[in-house]
Amino acid sequence: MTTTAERADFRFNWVDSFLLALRIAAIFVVVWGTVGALALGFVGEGLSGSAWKDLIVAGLAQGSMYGLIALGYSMVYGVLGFINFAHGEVFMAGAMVGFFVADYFFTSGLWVSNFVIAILIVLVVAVATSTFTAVLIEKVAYRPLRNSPRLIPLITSIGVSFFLQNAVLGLVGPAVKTYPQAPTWLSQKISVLGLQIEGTKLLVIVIAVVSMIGLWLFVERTKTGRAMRAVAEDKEIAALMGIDVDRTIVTTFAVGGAMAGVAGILWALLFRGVSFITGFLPGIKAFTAAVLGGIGNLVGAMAGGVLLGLFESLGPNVVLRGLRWEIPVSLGIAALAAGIGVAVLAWRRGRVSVASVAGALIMLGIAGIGQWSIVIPGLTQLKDVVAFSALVLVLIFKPSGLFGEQLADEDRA
Amino acid sequence: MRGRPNLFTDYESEMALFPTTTKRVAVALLLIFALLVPLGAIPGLSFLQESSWLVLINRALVFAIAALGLNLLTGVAGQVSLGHSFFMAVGAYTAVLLGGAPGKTVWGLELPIWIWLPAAGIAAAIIGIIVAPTAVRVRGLYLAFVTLGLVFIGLHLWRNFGKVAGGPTTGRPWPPLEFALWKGDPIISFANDGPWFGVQLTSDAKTYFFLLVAVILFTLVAKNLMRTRIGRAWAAIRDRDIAAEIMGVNEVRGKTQAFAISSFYAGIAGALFAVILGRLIPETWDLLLAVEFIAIILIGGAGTIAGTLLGTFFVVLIPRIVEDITFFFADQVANQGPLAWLGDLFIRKSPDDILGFVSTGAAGPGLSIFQLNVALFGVLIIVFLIAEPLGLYGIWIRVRNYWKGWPFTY
Repeated sequence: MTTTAERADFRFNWVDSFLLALRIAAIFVVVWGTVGALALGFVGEGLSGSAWKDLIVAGLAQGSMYGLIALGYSMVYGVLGFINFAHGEVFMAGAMVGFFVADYFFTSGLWVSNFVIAILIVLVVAVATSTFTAVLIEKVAYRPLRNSPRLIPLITSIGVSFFLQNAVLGLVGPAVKTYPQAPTWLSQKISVLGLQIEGTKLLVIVIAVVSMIGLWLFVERTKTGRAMRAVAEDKEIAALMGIDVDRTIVTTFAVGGAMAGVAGILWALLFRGVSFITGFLPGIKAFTAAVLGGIGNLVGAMAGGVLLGLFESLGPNVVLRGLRWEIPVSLGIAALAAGIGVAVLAWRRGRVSVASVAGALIMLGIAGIGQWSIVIPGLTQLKDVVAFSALVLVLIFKPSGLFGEQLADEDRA
Repeated sequence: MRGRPNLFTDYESEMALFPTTTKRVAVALLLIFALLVPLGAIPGLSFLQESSWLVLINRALVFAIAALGLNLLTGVAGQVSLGHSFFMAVGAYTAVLLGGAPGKTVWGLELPIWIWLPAAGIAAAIIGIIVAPTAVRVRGLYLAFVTLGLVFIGLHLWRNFGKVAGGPTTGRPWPPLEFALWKGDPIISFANDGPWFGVQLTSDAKTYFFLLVAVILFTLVAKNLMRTRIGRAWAAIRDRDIAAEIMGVNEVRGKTQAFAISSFYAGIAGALFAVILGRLIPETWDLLLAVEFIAIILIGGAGTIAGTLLGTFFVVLIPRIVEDITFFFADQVANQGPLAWLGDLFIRKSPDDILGFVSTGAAGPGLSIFQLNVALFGVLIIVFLIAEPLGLYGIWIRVRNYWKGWPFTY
């Protein structure tokens, strides 16, 4: 029988059991939280309909910004196989220089009289700054380390990141620089597809989508893009095919930097405040987004960014708030019975993945009988924790990301 | 007497802790030097006796314990961890839960040091064992990010569990470093000034001796781990995990051991770090601290004990040296000393000074000395990784090999 043979092949050691337990716990928490949030909503203790929509829109806008930064990580990882920690600082540099130009336009009056031209010039300057920074970092710090083990450029990039942060701090000081107020017609709410979207957020989403499509066309349709894909696949063979590897890598950094520059202006539109530390957390989050979508995969990076933005805005407020819901005893007992039934069935068939769902149901049963409800302190600060928990779970259960990674064999997780 | 240096005629002498006479003499001299530091008995280096320097040296000793742990995990077993500060925090908070004084807003059991210090290590080790299975499934840089996630999850926990960690901005006091059999008067106290064997010592000096013994113990354990079965298994896993498994090394067990032992070191170091500082806020255990340890082992030389110790002292003491140099130049500029022209280049004298980017005050535009240090730290990491991948240890090996054969080239 095939099932026995499969079972014999399948090595189920304690690591797998541990990870399975972790998976069950994760599914359990998510299911409980989501159902709880819906149940609380029916009772009237949950979020109102407009609050839900606002959360979704905020998540989409922030997510598309993460997606743009994630593209840079994903491309560099695809080509060179290491995480460019300093990419967040590239993003910050663009936003920071953009601020000075915007501030100049504000004092000279152009910002108010002709906002579109002003923001376009700011965008160009920010993109140029970020591109230049990214290329410079590559030349100075990464090129000499091209052939060293992976860990070395990673740590170097942390060093670059510290250096850039403190260099900016030394140049402009620790205060948060606030972009001038965007004109009022931009902050009005516009109704799109039944969602009331603030103008800035809509603009952010549109710019992100346009940049993304542009990048996709560049990588898939141009000769340089083809060279980049070839170098990502195998540097040596690409060199043999007549591709200038060094130049392609510089192009990769430049394009990634340009995307980070665009993201910097989007950040400015969304949050307005920029300081020397601005790049750090978005940088790490963007890497999370890149992994979430499958590293080396451009569409995945963008989708991962949007997903992460949604997780961040919905996770604490929906799933974790939903944990306050006490599971009714009757539902708990029903779930316990169903869970045990599925588990027994799964065990007899030798299928482990079904058992995880069963485990979650069993937990639900126990929680229902025990009348648990959890109030987590500091819900609003939980954004970062949610993002990293998402990363940890993705890395453990689907390291190749939701959309599949596109890397050379040796780089795969 | 054997014939020529480095000729080992049997396995035992090759595997000995100190295989050559030179090494034995060097270690003995180093020990004597270390014992004399807080007494101010070394000519030319008596300033090390000062409290401000001894505090730094104590911190370096604590960091050395944590760095040895990370070196076992990252340098020997090849598992990159950016979560070392998380494990240190686990140790520190275990220590304060067991040893700290209870208050209105905080928990504490006031147990003696021989309970809370080992418990700090063991608690961290248990968390390490729980994290280890992910290392089996997740490799390389991905593992670095999983452990990085731990730091952020930990920070959230410490900020919100005031009963354990104290207020987010105030922290809570840690128990003093004193040895008692049970609650009551301590038998030996490292935390107050007083004479030992007729020599008047400050609390810093006493702490120094305690930490010195701890570092020597942990160094010996690390050294022995590295040259016995466990360490060799780790090195095999680091170099090629699949090949190691084919040779009969149990990968899961090896990685679990590496995480457990490394976390144990981190837990002990975290507890001691908190104790010698006395009071800590939750933000102490952030990513910068974790990266500092990665930098220590990379600057020192990954996978080497001597390099780790060198790297620790280098990284911990460099800020103080930079500070002294900066103040020296500021002084020169202010008093028009012979080196004032050099100081002019980078010390900020007035708010509209364009050239000067270093200000001696804490506020104001321009880099404060602390910020200058973080920037320098970044540059140092880059320079070391590009120019000398083996770190300080590599430089030392080159110097040693040059003098070994001197005046012949080889």
